[in-house]
Amino acid sequence: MLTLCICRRVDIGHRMPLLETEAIVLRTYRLGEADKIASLFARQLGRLRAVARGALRPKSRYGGTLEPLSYVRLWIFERENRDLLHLNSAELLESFFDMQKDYHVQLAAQYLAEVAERMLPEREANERAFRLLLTVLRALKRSGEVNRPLLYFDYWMLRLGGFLPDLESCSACGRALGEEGGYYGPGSEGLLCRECRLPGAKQQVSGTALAMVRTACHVPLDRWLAQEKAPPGCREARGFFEEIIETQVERKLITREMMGEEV
Amino acid sequence: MKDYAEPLARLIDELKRLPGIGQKSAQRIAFHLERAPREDVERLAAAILDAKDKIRLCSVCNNLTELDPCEYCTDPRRDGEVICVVETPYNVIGVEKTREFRGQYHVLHGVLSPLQGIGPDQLKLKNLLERLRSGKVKEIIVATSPTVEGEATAVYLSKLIKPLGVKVSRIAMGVPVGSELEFADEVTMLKAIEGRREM
Ligand SMILES: [Zn+2]
Ligand SMILES: [Zn+2]
Repeated sequence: MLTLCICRRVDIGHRMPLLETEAIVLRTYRLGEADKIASLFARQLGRLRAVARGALRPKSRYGGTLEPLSYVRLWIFERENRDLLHLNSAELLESFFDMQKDYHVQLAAQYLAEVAERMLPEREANERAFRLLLTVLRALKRSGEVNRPLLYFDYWMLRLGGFLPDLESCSACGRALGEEGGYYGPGSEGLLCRECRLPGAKQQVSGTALAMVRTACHVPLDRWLAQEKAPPGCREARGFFEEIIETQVERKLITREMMGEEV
Repeated sequence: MKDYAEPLARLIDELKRLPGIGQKSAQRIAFHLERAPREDVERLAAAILDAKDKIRLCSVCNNLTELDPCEYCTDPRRDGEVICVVETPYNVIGVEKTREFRGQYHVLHGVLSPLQGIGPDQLKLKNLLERLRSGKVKEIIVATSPTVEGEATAVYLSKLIKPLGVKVSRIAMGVPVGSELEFADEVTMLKAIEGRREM
């Protein structure tokens, strides 16, 4: 049985009810001399930002729990008439610290964080997106492979957000895309066939890559990763989905650009 | 009507842009300067400009310095065979406080942090590699923070440097995970240097 979207409230004082939630740390910012602001994706509360007092101090009670992508349990409180939430305490459930020692994996992990931060609405619990992020992080940690986990993540983030374009037919005329696949470019929301293709739609994603996505992304990620190696077309398909994500969030993704430089 | 006369409002706005200075502190400082004798304010303004004009990056190690190369790079008593790599000029002072390290420094001016757009090209690595190619350096101690970013940077450096035949070690013990190095006390920093490990 999955965790219900109800927070257990532990009252520590009559004015400050504590909310308990699981969360994944997306990133942290420095606040003043010794505090951190954590951008979090909380399982029961959705995406939010909370202040962790003293978190930068060596003897801070947070230790390494608030490092990027940590899976944690948090106790949060909200002060009346303040927009920011405050952390009361945190407990590390699963660390993704060590895997990020590899710069390529760090880059991939921070890409997940950036997409989650941009695509998920604030204060809206999203159990499926939460499980997706956790699954992909674990896959990244276990396999050290970037391509399949990121493609899987892109596909499902778009699908869960309702932004996944039709992968079988032209978004303008509806004709089947077939082996040639479709064309896209900056600002695209879907694929165009050769006839409908606009001058800006310079990128192509092949029919083979699209067919691969339609099957591969519908088996559990672990089972897909158990197959020997990433099929051709992964990078091609990722390129397309990343473009759609950028269209939807209306900005360039910093980590996408940096991954491009690495290849 | 505005709260403050225009010049005072402008001063408060400028002060607020400084790190750790909020509206209240900015007001306090601005009023203090208003009441202070003109000579005091002139001395402060001159000191700010003087530091801005005279301080530059050492061409060898990227530390902040008045003379180029800096005193750490030119001091004959310091051991040129060991280089301690740090994130910021601030961290140099932290390591110096231990009085235990007698080698030289290299300041990266950041750590790998993709979300902030900081990749290897944004770090000051070029002149580090030049120093290593001179053949004089035997060991690199990587003293980046024990954070995800600090660790990724250390591992990246290790992969880059080891093929050049230079020993790479990393500070370890004493600095808790998730904290920033500049908050480490001297004892913690000393332990960190003693407990370095080869990578
Ligand atoms: Zn068409
Ligand atoms: Zn120097």
